[in-house]
Amino acid sequence: MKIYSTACPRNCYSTCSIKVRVENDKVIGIDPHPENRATPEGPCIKGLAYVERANSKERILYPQKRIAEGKYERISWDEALNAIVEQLKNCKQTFGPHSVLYFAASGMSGLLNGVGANFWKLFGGATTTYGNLCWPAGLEATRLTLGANKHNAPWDLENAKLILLWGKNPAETNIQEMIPVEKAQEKAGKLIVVDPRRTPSSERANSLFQIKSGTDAALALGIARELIQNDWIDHEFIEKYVLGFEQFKERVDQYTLEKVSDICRVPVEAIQELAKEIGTTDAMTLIPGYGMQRYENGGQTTRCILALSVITGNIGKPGACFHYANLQSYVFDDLKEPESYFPGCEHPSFRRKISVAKLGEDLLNIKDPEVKFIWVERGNPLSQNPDTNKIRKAFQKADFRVVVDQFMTDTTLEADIILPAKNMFEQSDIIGSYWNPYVQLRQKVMEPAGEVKPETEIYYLLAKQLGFADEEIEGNIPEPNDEAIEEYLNGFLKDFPELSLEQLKKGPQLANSFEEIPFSDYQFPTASGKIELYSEMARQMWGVDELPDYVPLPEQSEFEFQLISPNSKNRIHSQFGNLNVIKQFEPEAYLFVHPLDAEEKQMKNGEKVVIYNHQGRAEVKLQYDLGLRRGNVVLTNGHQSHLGAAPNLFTKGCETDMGHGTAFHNTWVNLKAINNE
Amino acid sequence: MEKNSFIFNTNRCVGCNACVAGCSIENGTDFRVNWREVNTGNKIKHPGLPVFHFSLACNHCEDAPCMKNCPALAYTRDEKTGAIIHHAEACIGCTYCTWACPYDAPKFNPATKIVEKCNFCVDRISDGKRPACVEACPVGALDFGLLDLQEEDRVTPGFVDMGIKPSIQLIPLREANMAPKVENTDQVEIDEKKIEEWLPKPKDKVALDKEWTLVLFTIAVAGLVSWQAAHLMGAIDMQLIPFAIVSVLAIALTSLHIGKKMRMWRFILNLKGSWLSREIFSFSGFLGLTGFQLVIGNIWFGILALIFGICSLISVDMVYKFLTRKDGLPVHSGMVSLTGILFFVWLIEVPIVIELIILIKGSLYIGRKISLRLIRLKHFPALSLLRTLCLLIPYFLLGTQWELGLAISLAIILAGELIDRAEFYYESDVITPEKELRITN
Repeated sequence: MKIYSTACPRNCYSTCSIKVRVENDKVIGIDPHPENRATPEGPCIKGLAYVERANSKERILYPQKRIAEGKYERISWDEALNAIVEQLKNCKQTFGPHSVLYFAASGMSGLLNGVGANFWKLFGGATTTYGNLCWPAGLEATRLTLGANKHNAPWDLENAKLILLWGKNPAETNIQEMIPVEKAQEKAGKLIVVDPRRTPSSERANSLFQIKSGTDAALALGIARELIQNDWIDHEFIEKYVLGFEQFKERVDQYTLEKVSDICRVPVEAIQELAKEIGTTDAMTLIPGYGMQRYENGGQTTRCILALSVITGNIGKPGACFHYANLQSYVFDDLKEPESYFPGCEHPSFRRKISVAKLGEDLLNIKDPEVKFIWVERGNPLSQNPDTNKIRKAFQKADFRVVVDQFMTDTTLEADIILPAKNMFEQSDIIGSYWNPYVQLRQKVMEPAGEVKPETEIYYLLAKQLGFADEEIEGNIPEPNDEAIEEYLNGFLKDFPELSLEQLKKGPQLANSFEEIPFSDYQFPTASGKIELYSEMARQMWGVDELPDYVPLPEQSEFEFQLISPNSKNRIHSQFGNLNVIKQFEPEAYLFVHPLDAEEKQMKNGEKVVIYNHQGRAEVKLQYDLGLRRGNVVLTNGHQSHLGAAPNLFTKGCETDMGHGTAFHNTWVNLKAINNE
Repeated sequence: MEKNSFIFNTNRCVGCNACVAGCSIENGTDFRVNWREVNTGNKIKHPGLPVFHFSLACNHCEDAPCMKNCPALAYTRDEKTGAIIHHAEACIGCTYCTWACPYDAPKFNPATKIVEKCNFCVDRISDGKRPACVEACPVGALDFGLLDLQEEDRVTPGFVDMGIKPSIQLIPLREANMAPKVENTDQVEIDEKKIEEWLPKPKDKVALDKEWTLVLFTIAVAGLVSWQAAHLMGAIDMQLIPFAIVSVLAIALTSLHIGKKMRMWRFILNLKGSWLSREIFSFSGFLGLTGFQLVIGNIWFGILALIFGICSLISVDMVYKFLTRKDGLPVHSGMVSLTGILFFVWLIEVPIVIELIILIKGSLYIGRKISLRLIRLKHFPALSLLRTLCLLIPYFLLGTQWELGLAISLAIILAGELIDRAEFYYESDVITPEKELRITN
């Protein structure tokens, strides 16, 4: 048996360091890696599930060709590559390279993912996507205000005297964050949660502000008004480092307690108490989640919430920060998120872009050339992008689809050819994290199973077969062997003498640029060099108000329930849900509904009900949740429509107000008991 | 005294189930038979009450009831680590340990037909490592160490402390972080009765659909023993063939209830500690000796058989002594000793004793029904009436000089006893963490 150090490469805050036990080229165990100070006790249940995932009989190990709907048969690599090459050549000649859509998502992180872009560049370009499904509105709001997205080291959280979890549920989505939360509470720190749901993270909180979903900005502005009126603000900090406080003060004046109480549906006294807690506690770490910015008003909402940290001077101190995203370990990126999501920043070959939020609509509408060939890797857009039915239609409109994946998904079921994807144990790569500050090696611990080829090798073979010149391939696409991969990675490391593959093989490493308490030097890389409550760029780039403001969501009369699709502890987006170790706890999708809402519709716990709106319709098992705000229903993210109900059957392709994010939670549905149909 | 113990910090656990997965992966167990389970208090999220979790496997108790009660001696204690080890090759799959343990640690695996259980990762801890579940906990809520445990280490709501000295330290919720104060002006007060109605019903470990064989078996024991007693009193004949048929049926019924029929002989290995062993041993002795008596015709075998028979009746009642009763009463009208006596007095037909027994059983029965009604549990009034009539009708028939009178009376009595015995199982219950935590406060 051998033990390797590696890291979990999923799109998840924690990015745990783990130790892998390998015997006879088989993963037999996952153990904690205490050298990572952010994840010292080891990974969550999904991390443990890698033992099953790596050995699963369900895994796709050979290229597959579609023979009928939902039916695939094994083919040889030669047959698969020949078919793909023929289609690509034909597309390029007849319609031009931009008739190919190169769609890659966040299924597995790593620097080698850049090889895909290199390939398509050499191909002559391809249509790609801009924006992001997850967090750009908040990233952009933070960038506009503070100039950069970084926050205190995860372990600093235990120094906070007040932790304000605003729409984040770390107990399910960033479980190791609960370690410092509990340490802070042990030291009599307070925990307050804002969420329309009573989540596992709110269970040990002092209070839960169960506000009407999408009204977060109003609550923040109401609190800001209280802070200013009671003089619970940090004058010195504001004077030295903040731009636009006077205008902001004027703005919040209209957000009286009564008005905010009415908008957010929480009592006046509670808002006063919360303001007092924020204003009179020494060190507040404010932790907004990604969920609360997945509304159309998400960017402005984040700016409003961030203003609370700013006017109380809770930035750049131990135990005090705005804890949204920490991109410190992304040392290899020339352009960091969210700017890398914006159209215009890319290589000229990728000038033609469609919105990730409106993937279906854009794909159906795009002309000259239309998209004829779709390549999907590291993603499952049919279940993860909004409006599944429209995307399915767009996929079916194209002539040819190739999907690279480890398991069958909603998207592979639309593919003409499925290529087996490597898993995290079969090729080394370097990954960062957006929460912990480590650079890590996701180490190769075994040879690929079956006939699996890493994507770099697939591209290498395609490049050869398409007749790309050797000197073009060299430097862009590494040869398919371990030495070439290490050399490729070393190319990134050469600028960082403190990081080496040798060191990274042993465990997580910090880059020299790591700051435990960012902004403690009060350097804010904004246009003015100050924290910008008033941002001209906000107006210029996004057409929103220069000041943070509450922008109400559209009024609803047609649909009764607002559907939110938060992440669950059991999946990372649509990954892991297929494994037995997970299915034992969540065998199928449930729609969570407040029992009083359900009874009004004559629906009972455990019954199948119909959920529908203009985008889609599905039947789903209902589960009572007394912890929900009435009027909200919940279907967790990552369920796939080929298995039943999935949230994106009901979402609309809708971008957030800034950052080209995706407004998943701007979704309203109706419910119907099945026997009443 | 210091001993290896689990340490569970209720403040830290968020109910992620990593411990459950860590255990099953390490031990290669079936997902349907998880040795460790996360039990949740207030699953329904009753407003104002905390939702909290208990991750529980085997607590390797000092006075382990599984080990004490196992008739087949399938459990041993590893002296070095204190782990209670279940030996698969010795287990007969009678599931009696799953009733004896208040922590739901032994699990019956329908695929292997035997019980299995957490072994404290005895190999790992012998090597100085932590158990797999502890290693898997991502938030440090579950820990392991050498502790000198005190009673206050086990005081936390929902955790049963029966004095069996479980090797677990429970760190209860801090007063300040019990449950969040919910701010929501649209929240309405919800009727407690409604919440009770919405609460998912926990599954019963002792349920009539599984235990019907035991109903028949125990009534058969009472019948056979009273037959022998009445026979010795000279009140009734006893022939080999009918006796043998009922005996064989009774044995077949018990065997239906165990997983490994070829190991049935192990049933009697734990006479020292297990009432179940004593029951099977004394009943087998009763059958064997009665057999000798009927074949050889020696009355002394019969007298000896009766002694064994009486022991078996007492043992049967003692077997169920540690179950909790929904009615909460110490004596049940469906106890087999009482049934045995009822059969016996009818066979010897002494009216005054019959009256006395009817009075005792009847009042126990009616008293229980009233108490069930008072605590608003199901009490099946129509069935109760029928059962009461089954006690009374034979009494009214007593005066008639009808030839088939006794046979009909006995059939009616038998029907009444079957109802009572079935209710005995229906109203029996095993303490499980799931049930203890269901009551939300």
